[in-house]
Amino acid sequence: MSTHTTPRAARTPQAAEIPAARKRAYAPARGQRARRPRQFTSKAAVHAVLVVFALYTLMPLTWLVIASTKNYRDLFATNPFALGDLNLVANLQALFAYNDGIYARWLGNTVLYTVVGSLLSTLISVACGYAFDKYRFRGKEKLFGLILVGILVPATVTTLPLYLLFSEVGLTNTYWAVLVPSLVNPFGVYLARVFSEGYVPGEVLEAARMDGAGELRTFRSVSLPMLAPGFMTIFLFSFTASWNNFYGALMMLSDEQLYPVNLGLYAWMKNVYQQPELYPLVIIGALVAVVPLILAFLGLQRFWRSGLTAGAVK
Amino acid sequence: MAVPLTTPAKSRTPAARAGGNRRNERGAAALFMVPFFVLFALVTLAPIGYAAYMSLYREQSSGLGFGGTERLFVGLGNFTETLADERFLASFGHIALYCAVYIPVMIGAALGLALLVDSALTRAKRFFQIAYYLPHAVPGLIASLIWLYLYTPGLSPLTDTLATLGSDWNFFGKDEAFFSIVNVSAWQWIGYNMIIFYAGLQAIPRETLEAATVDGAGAWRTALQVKIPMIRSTVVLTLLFTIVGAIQLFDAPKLIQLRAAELGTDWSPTMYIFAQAFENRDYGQAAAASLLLAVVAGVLSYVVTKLGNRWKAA
Amino acid sequence: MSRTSRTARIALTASIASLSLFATACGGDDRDSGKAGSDGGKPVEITYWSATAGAKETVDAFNKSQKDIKVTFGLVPSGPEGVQKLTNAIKAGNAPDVATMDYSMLPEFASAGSLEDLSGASGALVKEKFPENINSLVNLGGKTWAVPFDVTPIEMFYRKDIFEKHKVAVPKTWDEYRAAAEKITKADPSVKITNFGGGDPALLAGLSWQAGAKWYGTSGDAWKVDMTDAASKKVATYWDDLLKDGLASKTPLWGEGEQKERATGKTATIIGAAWSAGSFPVSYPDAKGKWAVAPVPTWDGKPATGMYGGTSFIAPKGSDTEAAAEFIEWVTTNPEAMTARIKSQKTPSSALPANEEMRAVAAKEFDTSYFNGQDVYALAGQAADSIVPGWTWGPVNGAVVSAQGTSGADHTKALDLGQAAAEKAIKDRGLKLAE
Repeated sequence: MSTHTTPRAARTPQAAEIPAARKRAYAPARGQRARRPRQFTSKAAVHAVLVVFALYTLMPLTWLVIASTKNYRDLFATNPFALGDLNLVANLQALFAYNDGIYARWLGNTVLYTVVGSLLSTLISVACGYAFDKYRFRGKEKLFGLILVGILVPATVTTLPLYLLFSEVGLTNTYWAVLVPSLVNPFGVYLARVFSEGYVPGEVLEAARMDGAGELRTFRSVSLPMLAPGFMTIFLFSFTASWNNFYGALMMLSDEQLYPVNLGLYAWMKNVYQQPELYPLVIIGALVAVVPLILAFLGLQRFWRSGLTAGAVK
Repeated sequence: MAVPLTTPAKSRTPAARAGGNRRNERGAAALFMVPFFVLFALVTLAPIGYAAYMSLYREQSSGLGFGGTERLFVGLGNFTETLADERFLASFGHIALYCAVYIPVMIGAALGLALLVDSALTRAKRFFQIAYYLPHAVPGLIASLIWLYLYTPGLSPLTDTLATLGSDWNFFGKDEAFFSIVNVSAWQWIGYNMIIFYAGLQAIPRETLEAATVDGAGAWRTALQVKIPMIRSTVVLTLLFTIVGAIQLFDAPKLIQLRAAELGTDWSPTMYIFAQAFENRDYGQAAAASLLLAVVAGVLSYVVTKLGNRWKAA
Repeated sequence: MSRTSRTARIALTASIASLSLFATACGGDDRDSGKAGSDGGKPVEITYWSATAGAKETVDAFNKSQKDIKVTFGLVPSGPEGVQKLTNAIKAGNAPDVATMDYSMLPEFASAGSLEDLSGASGALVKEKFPENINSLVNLGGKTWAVPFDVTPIEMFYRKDIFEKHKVAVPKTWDEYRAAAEKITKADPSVKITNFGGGDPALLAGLSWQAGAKWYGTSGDAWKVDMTDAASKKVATYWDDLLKDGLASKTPLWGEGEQKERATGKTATIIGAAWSAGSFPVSYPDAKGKWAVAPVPTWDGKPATGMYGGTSFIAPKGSDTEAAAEFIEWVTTNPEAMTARIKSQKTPSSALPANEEMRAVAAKEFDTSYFNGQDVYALAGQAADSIVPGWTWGPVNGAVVSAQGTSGADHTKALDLGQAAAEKAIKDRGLKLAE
């Protein structure tokens, strides 16, 4: 099934342009006068449904933005969708001042766990998947079977075993405890093999070898650039997985200094009864964490979409 | 990780040219694959092995317990005890119920919205796609956190509105909390899957749709008789992946449980494992439960892949 | 904002301190290196983790006061995870030398071999300098496992204005309390006597304690569990009836819902503890002057109370107990420690130190203007004297709390669930269960 994936995934961005053309194609068939009023009501109904659902998806984020501007008292005292006194800046200051600026540290940790972790993870996966595709050696398919087994067993179920093992060797509560597990992405290897089949023609490699380039240089300067879209897709998968990794971080980390943002917010959230002033901080902290992700998502839409379709046919 | 990739390469290059393609390829393959497999062994295989070992033992105290603990070999005792623990079985029951409610709602909504956005009537397709997909850019824990606050009386616009409407719906009530969890998942995933379905709909050849229109099929009939069957395999795959995801459910119930204590700290299988390890400090049984969950997840994923291949072939 | 958040944080120290919210954990390899250097005239280095505001300043003062021991402080997140964190650290062999722990978790850690026996180093101290009625909390199986920090007698906070408006006398017995509830709710159906919708099994435990129950005990080398005795059942039924009859609100303890009801005057009383007082100015700033404190109602009109929360100092497994005990003694009994702690806070906490000499210092620093000058500390001290002696926590309280938490507002069910969970967990751990 994999081989079908690549072309489709790659085509998706263009596919988005199709609807306009298709709409035009429909138009004449629908143009009968008798159907006009009905079409109008259908149109209204369709849009009503779509808008209602958009309200559902956007409402929580809208609330988050509004709530971020409120101080503790206004949070409880004012209408949830009404703006109180604007305390956005004060909240931001409080967020970054609290506990000697621990939140900034959490952001830094999150970047380490997600961006750096995913870059490394993707590089490792791509190299491995590329090797599976381009080199011949004994036991290759058996080894690939191991990758498939790795895909079948989700990381969630090995988290506690990993905790027990790391605890035995004193690796819990370190950066490694969260970073190392995120480097392993069997599905990324699988995708990389597929992408390598699709994007890197064997002839190009032969040509590079003829020119006397070593295997590593060929990979770095010829294959890797050709694999760039695939790299991006795998990176995004890995990125999504690591920013969603709350379970692992919750088990592994006890030192606040090592927390990613989500674990930090969780810790604050659990203390709001005892420290009510944390309410606004949790809210603004969530906003500050989400905004870059949303911007990244909007900026990288093309890759998200291809990643999505690749995931769908996994 | 880039470092180990480069070091051995230098010494290898001259020999490679002379030694022939075959050896060269083996060496390069090893070079590209070693990082992944070393990490894979460390992060997936070793922990499973260690958990298997741990699951055979139990920390036992005696008398009042103040004399310290000793480690007893219990064979498969932890497994039989886990399988006999009604809370462990109940956690799977909760997930089954969750699937029964969540999957029809989520798939139905995603499919319906995909068809609507795909329909010729809809304008601003781009906007709707982004609006629907946006929740997925929010990390799972933060999404749960936002909803937790939206369920909270005094903070939330929802509870106030419901109260004015005369409803006494309590999002954290014994029965209602279940739906609060379902809703968080739905919010996160409907848009994601809608985009996948939409991409599938976009890939339907235009001629097929035109043929249907020429045959006089209206929008409804085209949707039901042409479009849905064409993306059937994608829908089934999504369904299966959703089930695999569901048995790993942690973030949303963990957070909702903070306010809805009646759910219990072992509501889902992953929560059960967490509670066994960190509340009851029964690491042996937590390890056994992890392995059992790994088997369930592995078998489910395997079935999913097999079915997926069948559907793909069909 | 930053000013508010600081005072808020500090004012709530007491509640944090007293609710098993003492977290403790994370990597401290300093310890081993510290021990190595202990002989050459250099001070012994030990680590101490706590989540309390003011703990750091206390440590600084200790380090300044002497030259033999140098304490390295680690601020750790508070929250019920504290228990988990400490477990992790002990398991991974990097626990601190000193940590703070809720009384209710002591037997669980002690019976799992996670604590150092402090009998030798602190046994005499506990006997001489702390009230006798709480000795049973830290002395278990004939050994001393912890040194008390605060006592947490249950008290009743009440809205003077509501009681006056409806011409109701402040109840002294639980019968009067119910009568007051009936009168107030009849006059104004939106006002309830209190909220008691579950959410904190520790309060049910404390009220059972007051009624004479002993949930846990030992007999020979076996644990006894008795949560379904007549006294506990009487308490559970009493509250279940108040809820059923619409006299108490079903809003759970510790939630935004409770916050809203209390802040808007829908709650006539709060069953709290000594440490609760400090959180009032922060949580209900608009009700300044309206709240007052009274002894909690009793069953027979004679003074008696139980405890709700409370913190002690422990030495986790692997700790340098001698140095730890010295630091612990200073922190729990030396007025300098209390002064250092309180001076660093803008709003002093209302935690009632277990050691009597410390109480005077704490009382002097507490600003009673919120309570119209009422001597909150004197009242808490009297309440502390009336704590029913002999209560012991059990070795599986974590499992019990989890199980009881699922019962919602049904307190009778909470007792049954707790009993079953305790019996199962005790057997699972290989401990001996009496009968």
